[in-house]
Amino acid sequence: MTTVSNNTNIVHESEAQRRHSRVKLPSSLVITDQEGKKLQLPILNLSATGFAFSSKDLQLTVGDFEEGSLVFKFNSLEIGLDVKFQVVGVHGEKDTRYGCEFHELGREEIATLRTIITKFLSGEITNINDILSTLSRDNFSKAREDAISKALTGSEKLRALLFTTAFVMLSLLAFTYVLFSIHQHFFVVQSTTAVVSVEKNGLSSPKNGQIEVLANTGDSVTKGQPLAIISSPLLTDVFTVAGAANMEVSELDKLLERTIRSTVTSPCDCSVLSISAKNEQFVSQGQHLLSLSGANSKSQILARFKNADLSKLTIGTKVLIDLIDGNAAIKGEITALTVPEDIRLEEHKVYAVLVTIEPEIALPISFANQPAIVKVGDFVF
Amino acid sequence: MVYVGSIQMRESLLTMTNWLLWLTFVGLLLLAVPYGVLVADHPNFIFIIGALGIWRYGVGMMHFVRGMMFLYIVFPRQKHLANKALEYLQPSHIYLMITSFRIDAMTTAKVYKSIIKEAIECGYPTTVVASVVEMSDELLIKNLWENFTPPAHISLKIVRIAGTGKRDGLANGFRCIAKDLPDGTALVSVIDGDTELKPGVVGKCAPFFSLYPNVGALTTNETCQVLGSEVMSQWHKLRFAQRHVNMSSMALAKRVLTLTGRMSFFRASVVTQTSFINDVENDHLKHWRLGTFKFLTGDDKSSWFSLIQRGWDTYYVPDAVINTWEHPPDRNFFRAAKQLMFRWTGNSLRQNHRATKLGIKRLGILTYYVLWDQRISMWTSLVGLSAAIVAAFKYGIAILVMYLLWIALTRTIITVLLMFSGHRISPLYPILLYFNQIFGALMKVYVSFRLDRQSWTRQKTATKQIDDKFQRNFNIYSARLMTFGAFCLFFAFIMRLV
Repeated sequence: MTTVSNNTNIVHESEAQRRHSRVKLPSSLVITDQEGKKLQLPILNLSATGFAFSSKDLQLTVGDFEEGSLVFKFNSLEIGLDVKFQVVGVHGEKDTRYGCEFHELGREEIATLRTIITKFLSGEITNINDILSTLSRDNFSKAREDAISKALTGSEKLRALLFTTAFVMLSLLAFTYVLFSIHQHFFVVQSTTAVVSVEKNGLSSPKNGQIEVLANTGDSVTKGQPLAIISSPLLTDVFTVAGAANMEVSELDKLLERTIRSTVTSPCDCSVLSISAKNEQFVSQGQHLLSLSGANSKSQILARFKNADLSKLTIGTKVLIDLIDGNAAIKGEITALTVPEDIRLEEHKVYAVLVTIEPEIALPISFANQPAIVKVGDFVF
Repeated sequence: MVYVGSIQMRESLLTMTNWLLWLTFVGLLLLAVPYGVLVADHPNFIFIIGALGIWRYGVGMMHFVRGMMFLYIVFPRQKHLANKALEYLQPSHIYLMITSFRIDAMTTAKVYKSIIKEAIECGYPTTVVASVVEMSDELLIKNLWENFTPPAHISLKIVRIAGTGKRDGLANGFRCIAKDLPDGTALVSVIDGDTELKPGVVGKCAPFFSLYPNVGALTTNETCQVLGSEVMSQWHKLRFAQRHVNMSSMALAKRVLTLTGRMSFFRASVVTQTSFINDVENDHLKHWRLGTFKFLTGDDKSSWFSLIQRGWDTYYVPDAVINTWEHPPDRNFFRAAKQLMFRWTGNSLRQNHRATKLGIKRLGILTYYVLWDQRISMWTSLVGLSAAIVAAFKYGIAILVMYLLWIALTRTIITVLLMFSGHRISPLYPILLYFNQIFGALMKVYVSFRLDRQSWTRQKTATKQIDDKFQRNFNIYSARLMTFGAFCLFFAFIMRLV
């Protein structure tokens, strides 16, 4: 028959036990008092972590650190353990009882104390051989021996430092690149097409005839300077007169051979932007021959942007213009926004917005009609 | 019996439902792909990623095909030959050496039972060598030994050492075997304290040493019982299935890359050599940045390196099966996976660092390539996802959905292919495969700059810190800088690519 208890509020005795069992082991403490006199005091009880003794003469207070040696007597031999301890309890006025705790016990001392206490508890007699064998044995597990791991030597450290620094430099470049491309991809709007447009004067042929070009593209010319000569047959001028005068065929032939040379001169001090006629080509009256651009001609950038980017484009927005000439981009400002009038046009889907941009500095004539890249939202300082 | 049957039925129903769940997810991804994406022209980087993909999947495919060739064509023939060779040359003695440290008593009892049984049944004179730390283990083993009362030709040796790590346990065990002066045909099996031998393992492994005089060691197929959650369990099982295929592939060239600490067979003449024991006990690496440091974990990699360096071949026996009891180090799946992967990838990378130095001549083209591939794969694994995320920001979310769909489809195919390895598959595999790829790669990158950091999962032994103050601080901060730098370079590449 067993009775089952419903009471779970039971504390097992062992759970309330002291950490270490105390034993009354015949031993004594040798300690020097304040006057330098050696005292041998009997130990009241001893555990693995401390001991207690009583003394009339000593004046110790809680917290005092002391040194002494514990003396155990086995048969005819005495064993002394040098110990450091701290007073943790002082009880009684006369015959004061001092409770002490060991401090900084060495491995040998711990092993010896344990052997003595364990033997005493199990009722065995400790003899000197036990103590000697305890002391001679390695009673503690050690950290794994490691004579192999070692630091780099001086020059190797320098090398490691240099390599690491070089790698870090490289990675900082990469980091900058990553930041740059994130900015470029997600914060900068780029034109789909853009071109440099320059105000220009066109010269056209005054007559029909064969042209002789006297200037080259890019030449600077002065006002009145001849740019081309048109040689037209005289007949074209006198045709009606000749017809009326009933001229002979032979005379007409003569007339045909004769030509009139008229000169095309520059109307301004400017430079030749483009020449659309080729040398010795026959040009007809009114045909466009040359484009001229004056030093004061205004240059603009015309750019197309996607409709989706419209929110970032307002008049007055600062932009960067890359003329793809290898030089740094120049700054500019949006001056006009237009869209094709006929919204039904297919191109409306993609390139809806035409943006006119005024560059901050006048562009050289040579850039006229050249492609460019316009970026909105890039760092404009 | 009816009850057992209904449980099995319920389990298979559950698996079916899970598969349906997974396929539904794939279907949803398919629907999420916006109309027109599949026909629109793609940015150029898709082609570069495609090329990268062909390379990566090509490597995987190569391993798979080689593995299947080994499993179904080559190995059966080799096994037949090995059994014939055994008739002429038999092992003189078998040593079964087990290292145990703080494994729960239930597992220890199961493990030693299986080992003592195997010792009795294998038919060769056998010595069980138990390398233990705790007194309790010693008592348990002695008790089991008395219960089985083995015949006279079976003996037990107990080696008790201080708990200073498995490497010391192994070294002391090997020294104990060396004292017996085993002859050239004796074999030593090194077994972990959580490994249960399936019957007949010794009989299946021993013949190959008779057939191939140049095989110095071989390793076995693993299955596992995971004492943890379902995900944890499937995760371990997936690893073993993948391992099985890779091991088979490498076995075709007799260059198995790991002599698993769980259970491997060695020639006694190899493991009793002082230099080999020294390699296992004091293996270390000299690193240009981290100084010289001793290896703590990964004893199996040390023994592999030692063997290959000495010119031995390594082999894999797919039909010799062991069962391991996995105790995940943490209840939380991610924390446990992190800790385990930290250990595994660390071992693999420390090994890799010096194994490649053995050169193409010693290793052979395939092994040399596979070792290099281990280093490259941690970056290539991340390219796809990183590029997909960056591209999703630039060109729209459709690209990310497409990428996920691609991943879901390919991982499902890989899972199905894994079925041919003979391991069971689960609908969790596609997700776990991808998790392993990404998480494993991140872990590898992290570890590759901190090769000196290592610790056991079961034992809090850590290597003593180097006294040099500069080196200690330099190791910490330079590792951080190197990791940061590596990611910067990686993302610079991704930004350039996309």
